[in-house]
Amino acid sequence: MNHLTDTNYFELFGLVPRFKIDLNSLDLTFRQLQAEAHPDRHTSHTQAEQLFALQQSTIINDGYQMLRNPSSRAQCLINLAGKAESAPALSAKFLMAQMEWREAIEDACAARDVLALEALSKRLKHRINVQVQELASDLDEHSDFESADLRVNELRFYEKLRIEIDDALDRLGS
Amino acid sequence: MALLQITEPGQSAAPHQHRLAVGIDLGTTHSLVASVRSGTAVALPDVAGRALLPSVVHYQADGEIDVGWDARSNAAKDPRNTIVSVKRFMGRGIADIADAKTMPYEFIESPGMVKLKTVVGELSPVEVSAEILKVLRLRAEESLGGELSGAVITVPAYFDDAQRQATKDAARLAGLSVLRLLNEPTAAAIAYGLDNASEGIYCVYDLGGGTFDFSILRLTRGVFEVLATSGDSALGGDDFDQAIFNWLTESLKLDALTVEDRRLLLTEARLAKERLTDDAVTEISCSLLNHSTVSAILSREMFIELTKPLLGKTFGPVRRALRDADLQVEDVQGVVLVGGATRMPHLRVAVTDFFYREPLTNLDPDKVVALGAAIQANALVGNRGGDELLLLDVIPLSLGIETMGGLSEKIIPRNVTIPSARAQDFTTFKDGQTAMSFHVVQGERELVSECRSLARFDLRGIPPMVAGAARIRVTFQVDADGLLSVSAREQTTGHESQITVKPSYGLTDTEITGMLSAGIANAEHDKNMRALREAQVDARRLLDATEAAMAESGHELLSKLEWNEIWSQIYELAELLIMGDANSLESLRQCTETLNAVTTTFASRRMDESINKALSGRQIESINI
Repeated sequence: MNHLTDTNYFELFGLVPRFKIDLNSLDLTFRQLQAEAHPDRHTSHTQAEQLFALQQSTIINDGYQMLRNPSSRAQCLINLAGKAESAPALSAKFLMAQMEWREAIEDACAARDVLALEALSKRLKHRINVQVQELASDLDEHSDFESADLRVNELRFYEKLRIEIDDALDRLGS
Repeated sequence: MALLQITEPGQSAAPHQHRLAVGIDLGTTHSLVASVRSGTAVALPDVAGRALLPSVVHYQADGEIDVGWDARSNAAKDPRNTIVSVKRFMGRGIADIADAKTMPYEFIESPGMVKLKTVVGELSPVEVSAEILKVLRLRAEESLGGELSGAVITVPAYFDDAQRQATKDAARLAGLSVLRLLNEPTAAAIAYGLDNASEGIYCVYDLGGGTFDFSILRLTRGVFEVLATSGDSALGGDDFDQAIFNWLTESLKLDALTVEDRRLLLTEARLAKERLTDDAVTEISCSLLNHSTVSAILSREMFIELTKPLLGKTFGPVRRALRDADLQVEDVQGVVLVGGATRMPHLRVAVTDFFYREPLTNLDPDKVVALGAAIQANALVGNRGGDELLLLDVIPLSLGIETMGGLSEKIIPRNVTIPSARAQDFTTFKDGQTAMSFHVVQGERELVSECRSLARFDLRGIPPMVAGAARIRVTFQVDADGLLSVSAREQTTGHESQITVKPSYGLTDTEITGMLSAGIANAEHDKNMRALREAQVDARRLLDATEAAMAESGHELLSKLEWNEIWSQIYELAELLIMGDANSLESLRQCTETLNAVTTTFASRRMDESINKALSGRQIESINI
């Protein structure tokens, strides 16, 4: 997925570019910015202003989402540092673990076992939390962008697993 | 000279005159219209004092059309020509209507949307809905004493693009200018939130006649932020009537029913359901066309048993929305119930059990949606008091593009806040390929065949390259109305193709114009007059907006030269507007366009200014914390 601007989102939201940010403050700024920029606030303005409002409001929504989500926030920091490489290679161990996750999800689906899926979802959430903590330490304490890059890549796999579990629960009507 | 009639800068536009705007709930069983009067949203009643209008349209052989209460009481006598719950057919094909066979109508498959065969001919659901909207528009104009500037019309959050487009078409046909299609649960949250000055996470559980919607919102000082929305566009209160109907016909072995009998029994089923809200047991008794009597006793326990699967079906979407918003049941501060069907006691118990809290029911579940729509309409036409409200809504269904193998690649996922824009790069499949076809789809399923098709378009003139070398960037932009435009661009040559998605099931502009001008002798002249009036309104609006902007920040943000250039263009357009000549349509449009063009830089500076203001205000605040 490509995002549309090279706006520095930390700047847009008045934040110091760090991984650990105050999410409440981010939420507040988001609402304040939209209160100015949202197209609904410009319905009686000129066409040109309405167009700018649409563009600005779009960028604010995009930036808010990028900063709120840990993996895209980390990616923003890596990009800002100019350290984005082509995707680093995932370890064989990590890929094996991925396959085990997938099999567990498939088994639970086949057995229509909602409780098993919910347990997997909990375990995965915990795994994601750990990954995010490690990412924070890489970026904010050690400025180790290479390690962070790899962890972001892994985190994306976990996020995909999470969507898979949610979709499976959805299909089971639960 | 004409120029002197222009008001002084800053005096004309800023305090707008109060514009008449309404909110309309176009419901499956009932519809109603509301407006903000002296700061409060109120439902507008008919001459008999009734706010609700049954969404029933009765077509008679002599061309007479009854809408509402009279039509509803005729439903059993003339079922084929009395259209009930037309909302279920909006933007749908026969295949989409699950119980088409048991309905008393004669459906005709036609491209995109079914038609209904009646005594006055084949009718599109759009035309039937327009009859309901016309009655509400006239009611509002009489009650408010003037022509309406615009209307906000509510739709189920889970309506797809085709259903939304059909609703918009119906409004146009009824002579309404649509300010916005607003999601019903969001409208309810606005009415509820402003009324109670609520803060925090609120859910809206909205079981209407034909649709189920569930939305989660965060309410913060006048900002209504939708976090997730889900639902089932083919599940509603009507299905609970149908369950009773099925029980009756099965247990009493009633077969070979006429359409009149079916309609009669469905009405009896609905009344029995309503009685069971207060009573533990109810008796159903009526006589059929062949004079045989139907008589049965239905207990509330039996009704609960019969409708358990239906009620259970609503909690799937509830759980999904909670997962999408990454929230637990405990995070929810309140649950607002919307829709007449939420009066059923066993539904209230089920909701209470799920959320561990009593649902909120202090606003009339039949009116709350229209009231919220009226508040949003008032804000969108720029009336005083409207600036306290800001609504940040989401798209309910993912938008994607078909890729090899008939799979949908999601470009904008569901529950993303709008406006939104995303892009994705695609490449060629064959060596030397110079064209690409794009198929835009909506829905959550992986297979394109299980999603709804929105549009197809081609990009041609791609320079011949080896397979996989071309870079084609496809950009999706969804505006604040939830309308999608898609463009594709070859990155090396900059070759571009672009469309605004309008689903193929909607009526074409020609069809609408045809319907509008039917019966008008001088349609062509009429069309030109309308175009001129629209151009004049546009010009007037731009003049007002520009003058107000100049007065507000012209001195700060413009050089002397820029200031003069804009003013001279303002004068030019104003003079043209006052001349008011029918021949001036083209020059009026052109002059409006020029004023738009010369104010572009100014508009951009104003936007930057307001963003910076919001941000610097914020930074001072964070230092204080």
